[in-house]
Amino acid sequence: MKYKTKLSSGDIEYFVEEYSDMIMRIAIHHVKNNTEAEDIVQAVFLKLIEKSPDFKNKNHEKAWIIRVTINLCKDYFKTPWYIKIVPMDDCLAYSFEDNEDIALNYVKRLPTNQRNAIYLYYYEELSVEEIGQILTAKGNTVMSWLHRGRNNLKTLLKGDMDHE
Amino acid sequence: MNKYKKDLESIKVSEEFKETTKRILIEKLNRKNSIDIKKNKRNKSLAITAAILIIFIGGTVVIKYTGNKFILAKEQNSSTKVEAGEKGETNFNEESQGELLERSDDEESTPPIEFIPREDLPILSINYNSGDGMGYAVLMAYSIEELDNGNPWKEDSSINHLPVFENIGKLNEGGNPTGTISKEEMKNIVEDTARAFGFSIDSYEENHRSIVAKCGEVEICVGSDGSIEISFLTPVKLPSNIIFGYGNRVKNREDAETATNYLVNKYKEAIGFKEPAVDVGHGDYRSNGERVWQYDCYEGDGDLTSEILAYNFKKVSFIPDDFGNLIMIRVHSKDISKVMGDYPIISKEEAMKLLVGGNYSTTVKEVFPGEDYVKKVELIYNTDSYNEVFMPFYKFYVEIPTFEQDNGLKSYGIYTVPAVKGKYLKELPTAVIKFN
Repeated sequence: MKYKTKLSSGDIEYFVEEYSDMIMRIAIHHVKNNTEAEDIVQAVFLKLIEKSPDFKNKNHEKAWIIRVTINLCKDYFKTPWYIKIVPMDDCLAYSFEDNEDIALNYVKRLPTNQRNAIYLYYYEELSVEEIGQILTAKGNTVMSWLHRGRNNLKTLLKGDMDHE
Repeated sequence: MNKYKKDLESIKVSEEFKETTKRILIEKLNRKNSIDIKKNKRNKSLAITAAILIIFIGGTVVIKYTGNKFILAKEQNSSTKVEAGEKGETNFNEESQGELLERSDDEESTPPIEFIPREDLPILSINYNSGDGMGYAVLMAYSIEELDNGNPWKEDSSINHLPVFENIGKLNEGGNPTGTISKEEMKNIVEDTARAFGFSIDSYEENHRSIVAKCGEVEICVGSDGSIEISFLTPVKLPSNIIFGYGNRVKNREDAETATNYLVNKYKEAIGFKEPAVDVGHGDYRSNGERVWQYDCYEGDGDLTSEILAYNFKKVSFIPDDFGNLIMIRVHSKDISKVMGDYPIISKEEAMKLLVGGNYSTTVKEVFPGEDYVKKVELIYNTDSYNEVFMPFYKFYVEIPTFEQDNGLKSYGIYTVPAVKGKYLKELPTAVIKFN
Protein backbone atom coordinates (compact mmCIF):
# COMPACT_ATOMS: atom_id res chain seq x y z
CA MET A 1 0.00 0.00 0.00
CA LYS A 2 1.30 3.42 -0.94
CA TYR A 3 0.79 5.88 1.91
CA LYS A 4 -0.81 9.12 0.90
CA THR A 5 -3.41 11.54 2.12
CA LYS A 6 -5.79 11.67 -0.83
CA LEU A 7 -7.68 8.43 -1.28
CA SER A 8 -8.43 6.93 -4.69
CA SER A 9 -10.89 4.23 -5.72
CA GLY A 10 -7.91 1.84 -5.82
CA ASP A 11 -7.25 2.63 -2.18
CA ILE A 12 -10.88 1.88 -1.34
CA GLU A 13 -10.51 -1.46 -3.09
CA TYR A 14 -7.39 -2.16 -1.03
CA PHE A 15 -8.86 -1.14 2.33
CA VAL A 16 -12.08 -3.10 1.86
CA GLU A 17 -10.21 -6.23 0.78
CA GLU A 18 -7.57 -5.92 3.46
CA TYR A 19 -9.58 -4.91 6.51
CA SER A 20 -13.27 -5.90 6.15
CA ASP A 21 -12.81 -9.24 7.89
CA MET A 22 -10.73 -7.77 10.70
CA ILE A 23 -13.27 -5.00 11.37
CA MET A 24 -16.07 -7.57 11.29
CA ARG A 25 -14.21 -9.71 13.83
CA ILE A 26 -13.70 -6.80 16.19
CA ALA A 27 -17.25 -5.53 15.76
CA ILE A 28 -18.80 -8.93 16.42
CA HIS A 29 -17.25 -8.74 19.92
CA HIS A 30 -19.29 -5.64 20.70
CA VAL A 31 -22.60 -5.56 18.89
CA LYS A 32 -25.59 -7.83 19.13
CA ASN A 33 -25.73 -9.37 15.69
CA ASN A 34 -24.06 -9.69 12.32
CA THR A 35 -26.10 -6.94 10.67
CA GLU A 36 -24.92 -4.45 13.25
CA ALA A 37 -21.35 -5.64 12.78
CA GLU A 38 -21.65 -5.00 9.05
CA ASP A 39 -22.93 -1.52 9.78
CA ILE A 40 -19.75 -0.95 11.77
CA VAL A 41 -17.60 -2.20 8.86
CA GLN A 42 -19.12 0.36 6.53
CA ALA A 43 -19.00 3.13 9.13
CA VAL A 44 -15.25 2.58 9.61
CA PHE A 45 -14.61 2.99 5.88
CA LEU A 46 -16.78 6.09 5.77
CA LYS A 47 -14.70 7.50 8.60
CA LEU A 48 -11.59 6.67 6.58
CA ILE A 49 -12.88 8.68 3.62
CA GLU A 50 -13.91 11.52 5.88
CA LYS A 51 -10.56 11.75 7.66
CA SER A 52 -8.16 10.62 4.90
CA PRO A 53 -5.44 10.04 7.51
CA ASP A 54 -1.81 10.23 6.48
CA PHE A 55 -0.61 6.79 7.51
CA LYS A 56 3.08 6.45 8.23
CA ASN A 57 3.24 2.72 7.72
CA LYS A 58 1.19 -0.44 7.67
CA ASN A 59 1.22 -0.71 11.46
CA HIS A 60 -0.07 2.81 11.89
CA GLU A 61 -2.77 2.14 9.33
CA LYS A 62 -3.92 -1.02 11.07
CA ALA A 63 -3.80 0.60 14.52
CA TRP A 64 -5.92 3.51 13.27
CA ILE A 65 -8.54 1.16 11.83
CA ILE A 66 -8.69 -0.94 15.01
CA ARG A 67 -9.01 2.16 17.13
CA VAL A 68 -11.76 3.66 14.99
CA THR A 69 -13.63 0.34 14.94
CA ILE A 70 -13.58 0.09 18.73
CA ASN A 71 -14.72 3.70 19.10
CA LEU A 72 -17.54 3.25 16.63
CA CYS A 73 -18.66 0.10 18.42
CA LYS A 74 -18.79 2.06 21.67
CA ASP A 75 -20.80 4.82 20.01
CA TYR A 76 -23.09 2.54 18.04
CA PHE A 77 -26.02 2.50 20.41
CA LYS A 78 -25.54 5.99 21.73
CA THR A 79 -25.33 8.17 18.67
CA PRO A 80 -28.33 9.31 16.72
CA TRP A 81 -26.06 10.40 13.85
CA TYR A 82 -25.44 6.87 12.73
CA ILE A 83 -27.31 6.12 9.55
CA LYS A 84 -27.28 2.64 8.23
CA ILE A 85 -26.33 2.98 4.63
CA VAL A 86 -27.32 -0.39 3.28
CA PRO A 87 -29.37 -3.26 4.68
CA MET A 88 -27.41 -6.44 4.18
CA ASP A 89 -29.28 -9.01 6.22
CA ASP A 90 -28.36 -11.96 4.08
CA CYS A 91 -24.83 -11.16 3.07
CA LEU A 92 -22.83 -12.57 5.96
CA ALA A 93 -21.19 -15.90 5.39
CA TYR A 94 -21.41 -17.06 9.01
CA SER A 95 -23.67 -16.28 11.90
CA PHE A 96 -22.82 -16.71 15.56
CA GLU A 97 -25.99 -15.43 17.01
CA ASP A 98 -27.50 -17.47 19.84
CA ASN A 99 -24.88 -20.16 19.58
CA GLU A 100 -23.41 -20.98 22.97
CA ASP A 101 -21.06 -23.66 21.70
CA ILE A 102 -18.41 -21.27 20.51
CA ALA A 103 -15.58 -19.76 22.53
CA LEU A 104 -16.22 -16.30 21.10
CA ASN A 105 -19.48 -16.04 23.03
CA TYR A 106 -17.55 -16.41 26.30
CA VAL A 107 -15.13 -13.65 25.31
CA LYS A 108 -18.12 -11.46 24.42
CA ARG A 109 -19.25 -11.70 28.04
CA LEU A 110 -16.07 -10.06 29.34
CA PRO A 111 -15.88 -6.33 30.19
CA THR A 112 -15.04 -4.20 27.11
CA ASN A 113 -11.37 -3.53 27.84
CA GLN A 114 -10.65 -7.16 28.65
CA ARG A 115 -12.48 -8.23 25.49
CA ASN A 116 -10.50 -5.84 23.31
CA ALA A 117 -7.19 -6.77 24.92
CA ILE A 118 -7.85 -10.51 24.56
CA TYR A 119 -8.75 -10.15 20.88
CA LEU A 120 -5.78 -7.92 20.01
CA TYR A 121 -3.31 -10.06 21.93
CA TYR A 122 -4.43 -13.54 20.94
CA TYR A 123 -5.84 -13.02 17.49
CA GLU A 124 -4.00 -10.01 16.06
CA GLU A 125 -0.88 -11.03 18.02
CA LEU A 126 -0.05 -7.46 18.95
CA SER A 127 2.38 -6.74 21.77
CA VAL A 128 1.20 -5.30 25.07
CA GLU A 129 2.81 -1.98 24.10
CA GLU A 130 1.00 -1.87 20.77
CA ILE A 131 -2.31 -2.69 22.44
CA GLY A 132 -1.62 0.06 24.96
CA GLN A 133 -1.13 2.56 22.13
CA ILE A 134 -4.35 1.53 20.43
CA LEU A 135 -6.46 1.47 23.58
CA THR A 136 -4.71 4.53 25.08
CA ALA A 137 -3.57 2.67 28.15
CA LYS A 138 -0.28 1.89 29.80
CA GLY A 139 1.37 -1.47 29.34
CA ASN A 140 0.68 -2.67 32.83
CA THR A 141 -2.98 -1.74 32.51
CA VAL A 142 -3.16 -3.91 29.39
CA MET A 143 -1.35 -6.69 31.28
CA SER A 144 -3.96 -6.42 33.98
CA TRP A 145 -6.84 -6.59 31.46
CA LEU A 146 -5.31 -9.69 29.90
CA HIS A 147 -4.74 -11.29 33.27
CA ARG A 148 -8.26 -10.55 34.48
CA GLY A 149 -9.74 -11.53 31.13
CA ARG A 150 -8.08 -14.93 31.26
CA ASN A 151 -9.19 -15.46 34.85
CA ASN A 152 -12.75 -14.40 34.05
CA LEU A 153 -12.83 -16.73 31.06
CA LYS A 154 -11.73 -19.61 33.26
CA THR A 155 -14.51 -18.75 35.72
CA LEU A 156 -17.11 -18.46 32.97
CA LEU A 157 -16.11 -21.76 31.38
CA LYS A 158 -16.03 -23.50 34.75
CA GLY A 159 -19.43 -22.05 35.67
CA ASP A 160 -21.00 -23.36 32.48
CA MET A 161 -19.42 -26.78 32.90
CA ASP A 162 -20.60 -26.97 36.52
CA HIS A 163 -24.05 -25.95 35.39
CA GLU A 164 -24.13 -28.77 32.88
CA MET B 1 -7.67 -19.80 23.07
CA ASN B 2 -7.18 -22.03 20.03
CA LYS B 3 -10.91 -22.60 19.84
CA TYR B 4 -11.48 -18.85 20.10
CA LYS B 5 -8.99 -18.19 17.28
CA LYS B 6 -10.62 -20.86 15.17
CA ASP B 7 -14.04 -19.28 15.72
CA LEU B 8 -12.68 -15.93 14.62
CA GLU B 9 -10.95 -17.38 11.54
CA SER B 10 -14.33 -18.39 10.22
CA ILE B 11 -15.78 -14.88 10.49
CA LYS B 12 -15.65 -13.31 7.07
CA VAL B 13 -17.80 -10.86 5.21
CA SER B 14 -19.25 -12.11 1.96
CA GLU B 15 -17.95 -11.06 -1.46
CA GLU B 16 -21.35 -9.51 -2.15
CA PHE B 17 -21.05 -7.31 0.91
CA LYS B 18 -17.54 -6.25 -0.09
CA GLU B 19 -18.61 -5.29 -3.60
CA THR B 20 -21.64 -3.33 -2.39
CA THR B 21 -19.51 -1.56 0.19
CA LYS B 22 -16.86 -0.66 -2.38
CA ARG B 23 -19.49 0.77 -4.74
CA ILE B 24 -21.04 2.92 -1.99
CA LEU B 25 -17.67 4.11 -0.76
CA ILE B 26 -16.39 5.01 -4.21
CA GLU B 27 -19.54 7.08 -4.79
CA LYS B 28 -18.94 8.84 -1.46
CA LEU B 29 -15.29 9.37 -2.29
CA ASN B 30 -16.07 10.88 -5.69
CA ARG B 31 -18.54 13.25 -4.12
CA LYS B 32 -15.99 14.24 -1.47
CA ASN B 33 -13.21 14.72 -4.00
CA SER B 34 -15.36 16.96 -6.18
CA ILE B 35 -16.15 19.14 -3.13
CA ASP B 36 -12.44 19.25 -2.25
CA ILE B 37 -11.53 20.35 -5.79
CA LYS B 38 -13.99 23.25 -5.54
CA LYS B 39 -12.53 24.22 -2.14
CA ASN B 40 -8.98 24.03 -3.48
CA LYS B 41 -9.83 26.28 -6.41
CA ARG B 42 -11.25 28.86 -4.03
CA ASN B 43 -8.20 28.56 -1.72
CA LYS B 44 -5.86 28.84 -4.70
CA SER B 45 -7.29 32.21 -5.73
CA LEU B 46 -6.97 33.40 -2.13
CA ALA B 47 -3.37 32.15 -2.04
CA ILE B 48 -2.48 34.02 -5.25
CA THR B 49 -3.87 37.25 -3.79
CA ALA B 50 -1.93 36.66 -0.56
CA ALA B 51 1.28 35.88 -2.48
CA ILE B 52 1.06 39.16 -4.39
CA LEU B 53 0.72 41.03 -1.10
CA ILE B 54 3.65 39.13 0.43
CA ILE B 55 5.91 39.90 -2.54
CA PHE B 56 4.93 43.53 -2.19
CA ILE B 57 5.87 43.83 1.49
CA GLY B 58 8.50 41.04 1.55
CA GLY B 59 11.51 43.28 0.91
CA THR B 60 11.11 45.03 4.25
CA VAL B 61 10.86 41.70 6.12
CA VAL B 62 14.03 40.32 4.49
CA ILE B 63 16.03 43.43 5.35
CA LYS B 64 14.91 43.32 9.00
CA TYR B 65 15.68 39.61 9.30
CA THR B 66 19.16 40.04 7.81
CA GLY B 67 19.79 42.81 10.30
CA ASN B 68 18.99 40.62 13.29
CA LYS B 69 21.02 37.73 11.94
CA PHE B 70 24.07 40.00 11.79
CA ILE B 71 23.59 40.98 15.45
CA LEU B 72 23.32 37.33 16.48
CA ALA B 73 26.46 36.37 14.58
CA LYS B 74 28.43 39.19 16.20
CA GLU B 75 27.31 38.15 19.69
CA GLN B 76 28.15 34.53 19.08
CA ASN B 77 31.69 35.48 18.07
CA SER B 78 32.15 37.43 21.28
CA SER B 79 31.86 34.35 23.48
CA THR B 80 32.19 30.70 22.76
CA LYS B 81 30.34 29.90 25.99
CA VAL B 82 27.04 30.87 24.48
CA GLU B 83 27.23 27.96 22.09
CA ALA B 84 25.42 24.87 23.19
CA GLY B 85 24.05 21.73 21.67
CA GLU B 86 27.10 20.53 19.79
CA LYS B 87 25.65 18.01 17.42
CA GLY B 88 26.18 14.54 18.81
CA GLU B 89 26.98 15.52 22.39
CA THR B 90 25.08 16.76 25.40
CA ASN B 91 26.00 19.87 27.33
CA PHE B 92 24.32 20.12 30.70
CA ASN B 93 26.33 23.08 31.95
CA GLU B 94 23.85 25.16 33.95
CA GLU B 95 26.48 27.78 34.85
CA SER B 96 27.22 28.77 31.29
CA GLN B 97 23.50 29.13 30.75
CA GLY B 98 23.27 31.43 33.73
CA GLU B 99 25.96 33.65 32.20
CA LEU B 100 24.04 33.58 29.03
CA LEU B 101 20.89 34.94 30.56
CA GLU B 102 22.78 37.88 32.04
CA ARG B 103 24.91 38.56 28.97
CA SER B 104 22.87 40.80 26.70
CA ASP B 105 23.88 44.47 27.02
CA ASP B 106 21.60 45.90 24.40
CA GLU B 107 18.34 44.07 25.02
CA GLU B 108 16.33 47.13 24.08
CA SER B 109 17.62 47.05 20.52
CA THR B 110 17.66 43.27 20.03
CA PRO B 111 14.97 40.61 20.30
CA PRO B 112 14.56 39.01 23.75
CA ILE B 113 17.12 36.25 23.31
CA GLU B 114 17.41 33.97 26.32
CA PHE B 115 19.74 31.47 24.81
CA ILE B 116 21.71 31.32 21.61
CA PRO B 117 22.22 27.80 20.34
CA ARG B 118 24.48 26.78 17.53
CA GLU B 119 22.98 27.76 14.24
CA ASP B 120 23.35 24.24 12.90
CA LEU B 121 20.82 22.74 15.32
CA PRO B 122 18.57 20.69 13.07
CA ILE B 123 14.97 21.82 12.59
CA LEU B 124 12.73 19.23 14.22
CA SER B 125 9.91 17.61 12.35
CA ILE B 126 7.20 16.04 14.52
CA ASN B 127 4.11 14.18 13.46
CA TYR B 128 1.59 15.43 15.97
CA ASN B 129 -0.91 12.86 14.74
CA SER B 130 1.00 9.84 15.93
CA GLY B 131 0.06 7.64 18.90
CA ASP B 132 0.30 9.63 22.06
CA GLY B 133 3.35 8.29 23.96
CA MET B 134 2.61 10.80 26.67
CA GLY B 135 0.18 9.00 28.92
CA TYR B 136 -3.56 8.64 29.05
CA ALA B 137 -5.85 10.90 27.08
CA VAL B 138 -8.09 11.47 30.08
CA LEU B 139 -7.32 10.86 33.76
CA MET B 140 -9.98 10.65 36.41
CA ALA B 141 -9.64 11.87 40.00
CA TYR B 142 -11.66 13.68 42.65
CA SER B 143 -9.09 16.49 42.70
CA ILE B 144 -6.00 17.39 40.73
CA GLU B 145 -3.76 16.86 43.78
CA GLU B 146 -4.51 13.14 43.57
CA LEU B 147 -2.66 13.07 40.26
CA ASP B 148 0.62 14.25 41.79
CA ASN B 149 3.38 12.02 40.51
CA GLY B 150 7.12 11.57 40.76
CA ASN B 151 8.08 13.82 37.83
CA PRO B 152 11.32 15.53 38.93
CA TRP B 153 10.37 18.63 36.88
CA LYS B 154 8.24 20.92 39.01
CA GLU B 155 6.45 24.09 38.02
CA ASP B 156 9.13 26.17 39.75
CA SER B 157 12.04 24.23 38.20
CA SER B 158 14.57 26.44 36.47
CA ILE B 159 15.63 24.77 33.29
CA ASN B 160 15.76 26.40 29.89
CA HIS B 161 17.41 23.94 27.58
CA LEU B 162 17.14 20.19 27.17
CA PRO B 163 18.60 17.62 24.81
CA VAL B 164 16.61 16.25 21.90
CA PHE B 165 17.37 12.71 20.74
CA GLU B 166 17.06 10.91 17.47
CA ASN B 167 14.70 7.96 17.90
CA ILE B 168 16.98 5.19 16.72
CA GLY B 169 14.31 2.62 17.44
CA LYS B 170 11.70 4.31 15.24
CA LEU B 171 9.27 1.82 13.79
CA ASN B 172 9.75 1.23 10.09
CA GLU B 173 7.11 0.61 7.44
CA GLY B 174 6.87 -3.02 8.42
CA GLY B 175 6.17 -1.96 11.99
CA ASN B 176 9.54 -3.16 13.26
CA PRO B 177 12.13 -1.04 15.03
CA THR B 178 15.10 -0.06 12.90
CA GLY B 179 18.72 0.46 13.86
CA THR B 180 18.22 -0.79 17.36
CA ILE B 181 20.32 -3.22 19.35
CA SER B 182 21.49 -6.40 17.70
CA LYS B 183 20.43 -9.91 18.66
CA GLU B 184 23.83 -10.35 20.29
CA GLU B 185 23.35 -7.26 22.44
CA MET B 186 19.83 -8.41 23.33
CA LYS B 187 21.26 -11.74 24.43
CA ASN B 188 23.88 -9.93 26.51
CA ILE B 189 21.13 -7.96 28.25
CA VAL B 190 19.22 -11.19 28.91
CA GLU B 191 22.32 -12.78 30.42
CA ASP B 192 23.19 -9.69 32.49
CA THR B 193 19.62 -9.54 33.80
CA ALA B 194 19.60 -13.23 34.70
CA ARG B 195 22.93 -12.81 36.48
CA ALA B 196 21.76 -9.71 38.37
CA PHE B 197 18.64 -11.51 39.62
CA GLY B 198 20.46 -14.77 40.28
CA PHE B 199 18.53 -16.85 37.72
CA SER B 200 20.07 -19.55 35.57
CA ILE B 201 18.94 -19.75 31.95
CA ASP B 202 17.51 -23.09 30.76
CA SER B 203 16.65 -22.18 27.17
CA TYR B 204 16.08 -19.34 24.71
CA GLU B 205 13.28 -18.45 22.32
CA GLU B 206 13.77 -15.84 19.61
CA ASN B 207 11.60 -13.91 17.21
CA HIS B 208 12.31 -10.85 15.09
CA ARG B 209 11.50 -8.45 17.92
CA SER B 210 12.63 -10.11 21.12
CA ILE B 211 14.62 -12.80 22.89
CA VAL B 212 13.04 -14.74 25.72
CA ALA B 213 15.10 -16.72 28.21
CA LYS B 214 13.38 -19.38 30.28
CA CYS B 215 14.79 -19.64 33.78
CA GLY B 216 12.63 -22.20 35.57
CA GLU B 217 9.55 -20.36 36.81
CA VAL B 218 10.83 -17.05 35.45
CA GLU B 219 10.96 -15.68 31.91
CA ILE B 220 13.20 -12.81 30.86
CA CYS B 221 12.15 -11.07 27.66
CA VAL B 222 14.36 -8.40 26.04
CA GLY B 223 12.90 -6.35 23.20
CA SER B 224 14.82 -4.86 20.30
CA ASP B 225 14.44 -1.44 21.94
CA GLY B 226 16.30 -2.74 25.00
CA SER B 227 13.22 -2.98 27.23
CA ILE B 228 13.20 -5.88 29.67
CA GLU B 229 10.31 -7.86 31.14
CA ILE B 230 10.89 -10.34 33.95
CA SER B 231 7.77 -12.47 34.34
CA PHE B 232 7.23 -14.61 37.42
CA LEU B 233 5.19 -17.58 36.28
CA THR B 234 4.65 -18.40 39.93
CA PRO B 235 3.70 -15.01 41.42
CA VAL B 236 5.98 -13.67 44.14
CA LYS B 237 4.18 -13.31 47.46
CA LEU B 238 4.83 -10.17 49.49
CA PRO B 239 4.81 -10.02 53.32
CA SER B 240 1.29 -9.71 54.74
CA ASN B 241 1.93 -6.18 56.02
CA ILE B 242 2.72 -4.92 52.51
CA ILE B 243 -0.41 -3.89 50.62
CA PHE B 244 0.11 -4.16 46.88
CA GLY B 245 -2.24 -4.66 43.92
CA TYR B 246 -5.23 -3.18 42.15
CA GLY B 247 -8.52 -1.66 43.11
CA ASN B 248 -9.40 -0.83 46.65
CA ARG B 249 -6.86 -3.23 48.19
CA VAL B 250 -4.44 -0.31 48.32
CA LYS B 251 -6.14 2.37 50.36
CA ASN B 252 -3.87 5.35 49.89
CA ARG B 253 -0.65 6.75 48.46
CA GLU B 254 1.27 5.73 51.57
CA ASP B 255 0.36 2.05 51.05
CA ALA B 256 1.46 2.27 47.40
CA GLU B 257 4.74 3.95 48.30
CA THR B 258 5.44 1.43 51.06
CA ALA B 259 4.91 -1.44 48.62
CA THR B 260 7.13 0.17 45.97
CA ASN B 261 9.85 0.91 48.51
CA TYR B 262 9.71 -2.68 49.69
CA LEU B 263 10.11 -4.00 46.12
CA VAL B 264 12.83 -1.47 45.28
CA ASN B 265 14.79 -2.63 48.33
CA LYS B 266 14.17 -6.29 47.58
CA TYR B 267 15.55 -5.93 44.06
CA LYS B 268 17.89 -2.98 44.67
CA GLU B 269 21.07 -4.83 43.73
CA ALA B 270 19.58 -6.19 40.54
CA ILE B 271 18.03 -2.90 39.48
CA GLY B 272 21.29 -1.10 40.16
CA PHE B 273 19.98 2.45 40.78
CA LYS B 274 22.17 4.53 43.10
CA GLU B 275 19.29 6.57 44.48
CA PRO B 276 15.99 5.04 43.40
CA ALA B 277 13.17 7.60 43.28
CA VAL B 278 9.73 6.09 43.89
CA ASP B 279 6.84 7.15 41.67
CA VAL B 280 3.35 5.82 42.40
CA GLY B 281 1.16 8.64 41.17
CA HIS B 282 0.66 7.65 37.56
CA GLY B 283 -2.57 5.83 38.11
CA ASP B 284 -5.99 7.38 38.32
CA TYR B 285 -9.53 6.20 39.10
CA ARG B 286 -11.71 3.83 37.16
CA SER B 287 -15.22 5.07 36.50
CA ASN B 288 -16.48 2.76 39.27
CA GLY B 289 -14.44 4.76 41.78
CA GLU B 290 -11.56 2.29 42.18
CA ARG B 291 -8.14 3.91 42.48
CA VAL B 292 -5.36 2.50 40.33
CA TRP B 293 -1.76 2.94 41.41
CA GLN B 294 1.43 2.43 39.42
CA TYR B 295 4.47 1.10 41.21
CA ASP B 296 7.43 2.70 39.44
CA CYS B 297 10.93 3.88 40.24
CA TYR B 298 13.74 5.62 38.38
CA GLU B 299 17.32 6.73 39.02
CA GLY B 300 17.17 9.83 41.21
CA ASP B 301 20.93 10.36 41.28
CA GLY B 302 22.38 13.33 39.38
CA ASP B 303 21.32 16.84 38.41
CA LEU B 304 17.82 17.84 37.35
CA THR B 305 18.43 17.11 33.66
CA SER B 306 19.74 13.63 34.46
CA GLU B 307 16.69 12.99 36.62
CA ILE B 308 14.33 14.21 33.89
CA LEU B 309 15.99 11.88 31.37
CA ALA B 310 15.89 8.94 33.79
CA TYR B 311 12.24 9.61 34.59
CA ASN B 312 11.25 9.70 30.93
CA PHE B 313 13.53 7.10 29.40
CA LYS B 314 14.45 4.48 31.97
CA LYS B 315 11.89 3.41 34.51
CA VAL B 316 11.28 0.22 36.40
CA SER B 317 7.67 -0.86 37.02
CA PHE B 318 6.41 -3.56 39.37
CA ILE B 319 3.26 -5.25 38.11
CA PRO B 320 0.86 -6.95 40.57
CA ASP B 321 -1.82 -9.56 40.02
CA ASP B 322 -5.32 -9.31 41.49
CA PHE B 323 -4.22 -10.91 44.75
CA GLY B 324 -1.38 -8.55 45.64
CA ASN B 325 1.46 -10.72 44.36
CA LEU B 326 4.23 -9.57 42.04
CA ILE B 327 3.94 -11.04 38.55
CA MET B 328 6.31 -8.88 36.53
CA ILE B 329 9.15 -6.38 36.70
CA ARG B 330 9.34 -4.24 33.59
CA VAL B 331 12.31 -2.04 32.70
CA HIS B 332 11.12 0.58 30.21
CA SER B 333 14.01 1.68 28.12
CA LYS B 334 14.53 3.92 25.11
CA ASP B 335 17.78 4.32 23.26
CA ILE B 336 18.83 7.96 23.70
CA SER B 337 22.44 7.54 22.67
CA LYS B 338 22.12 9.79 19.63
CA VAL B 339 21.78 13.41 20.74
CA MET B 340 20.61 15.83 18.05
CA GLY B 341 21.44 18.86 20.13
CA ASP B 342 20.71 20.84 23.23
CA TYR B 343 17.64 22.90 22.40
CA PRO B 344 16.30 26.00 24.11
CA ILE B 345 12.89 25.44 25.62
CA ILE B 346 10.08 27.87 26.24
CA SER B 347 8.69 28.67 29.68
CA LYS B 348 5.44 27.16 30.94
CA GLU B 349 3.85 30.61 30.54
CA GLU B 350 4.82 30.72 26.87
CA ALA B 351 3.51 27.18 26.48
CA MET B 352 0.21 28.28 28.03
CA LYS B 353 -0.06 31.01 25.39
CA LEU B 354 0.40 28.40 22.67
CA LEU B 355 -2.23 26.20 24.30
CA VAL B 356 -4.74 29.04 24.52
CA GLY B 357 -3.91 29.97 20.91
CA GLY B 358 -4.81 26.46 19.73
CA ASN B 359 -1.26 25.16 19.15
CA TYR B 360 -1.77 21.87 20.94
CA SER B 361 -2.32 18.22 20.25
CA THR B 362 -4.57 15.91 22.23
CA THR B 363 -6.47 12.66 22.13
CA VAL B 364 -9.43 14.25 23.94
CA LYS B 365 -12.45 14.62 21.71
CA GLU B 366 -13.16 18.06 23.15
CA VAL B 367 -11.97 21.48 22.06
CA PHE B 368 -9.73 23.09 24.69
CA PRO B 369 -12.24 24.68 27.10
CA GLY B 370 -10.04 27.62 28.18
CA GLU B 371 -7.21 28.68 30.48
CA ASP B 372 -9.41 28.61 33.59
CA TYR B 373 -9.72 24.85 33.25
CA VAL B 374 -5.95 24.19 33.22
CA LYS B 375 -5.25 22.57 36.59
CA LYS B 376 -1.67 21.33 36.26
CA VAL B 377 1.32 21.39 33.94
CA GLU B 378 4.28 19.04 33.61
CA LEU B 379 7.31 18.86 31.38
CA ILE B 380 7.74 15.44 29.81
CA TYR B 381 9.34 13.84 26.78
CA ASN B 382 7.25 12.28 24.07
CA THR B 383 8.51 8.72 23.85
CA ASP B 384 6.24 7.59 21.01
CA SER B 385 8.00 4.89 18.98
CA TYR B 386 6.71 6.25 15.67
CA ASN B 387 8.31 9.68 15.97
CA GLU B 388 11.65 10.62 14.43
CA VAL B 389 12.80 12.36 17.60
CA PHE B 390 12.29 12.33 21.35
CA MET B 391 11.74 15.92 22.41
CA PRO B 392 10.25 17.65 25.45
CA PHE B 393 6.62 18.77 25.64
CA TYR B 394 4.52 20.62 28.17
CA LYS B 395 1.68 18.38 29.29
CA PHE B 396 -1.39 20.29 30.47
CA TYR B 397 -4.06 18.64 32.63
CA VAL B 398 -7.29 20.31 31.62
CA GLU B 399 -10.49 19.73 33.54
CA ILE B 400 -13.24 18.75 31.11
CA PRO B 401 -16.45 20.02 32.73
CA THR B 402 -18.74 17.95 30.49
CA PHE B 403 -17.02 14.72 31.58
CA GLU B 404 -17.71 15.04 35.34
CA GLN B 405 -19.43 11.98 36.76
CA ASP B 406 -22.29 11.64 39.21
CA ASN B 407 -19.93 10.20 41.85
CA GLY B 408 -17.88 13.42 41.78
CA LEU B 409 -15.01 12.04 39.71
CA LYS B 410 -13.53 14.74 37.52
CA SER B 411 -11.86 14.11 34.18
CA TYR B 412 -8.61 15.77 33.27
CA GLY B 413 -7.83 15.75 29.57
CA ILE B 414 -4.21 15.84 28.44
CA TYR B 415 -3.25 18.57 25.96
CA THR B 416 0.38 18.84 24.89
CA VAL B 417 2.43 21.71 23.50
CA PRO B 418 6.02 21.36 22.18
CA ALA B 419 8.52 22.73 24.69
CA VAL B 420 11.26 23.38 22.12
CA LYS B 421 11.32 26.94 20.83
CA GLY B 422 9.17 27.38 17.75
CA LYS B 423 12.05 28.49 15.52
CA TYR B 424 13.49 24.98 15.75
CA LEU B 425 10.24 23.28 14.82
CA LYS B 426 9.14 22.68 11.27
CA GLU B 427 5.60 23.42 12.40
CA LEU B 428 3.47 23.78 15.50
CA PRO B 429 0.42 21.63 16.12
CA THR B 430 -2.86 23.36 15.39
CA ALA B 431 -5.53 21.83 17.63
CA VAL B 432 -4.54 18.35 16.50
CA ILE B 433 -6.95 15.74 17.83
CA LYS B 434 -5.28 12.39 17.33
CA PHE B 435 -7.03 9.49 15.71
CA ASN B 436 -10.73 10.16 15.29
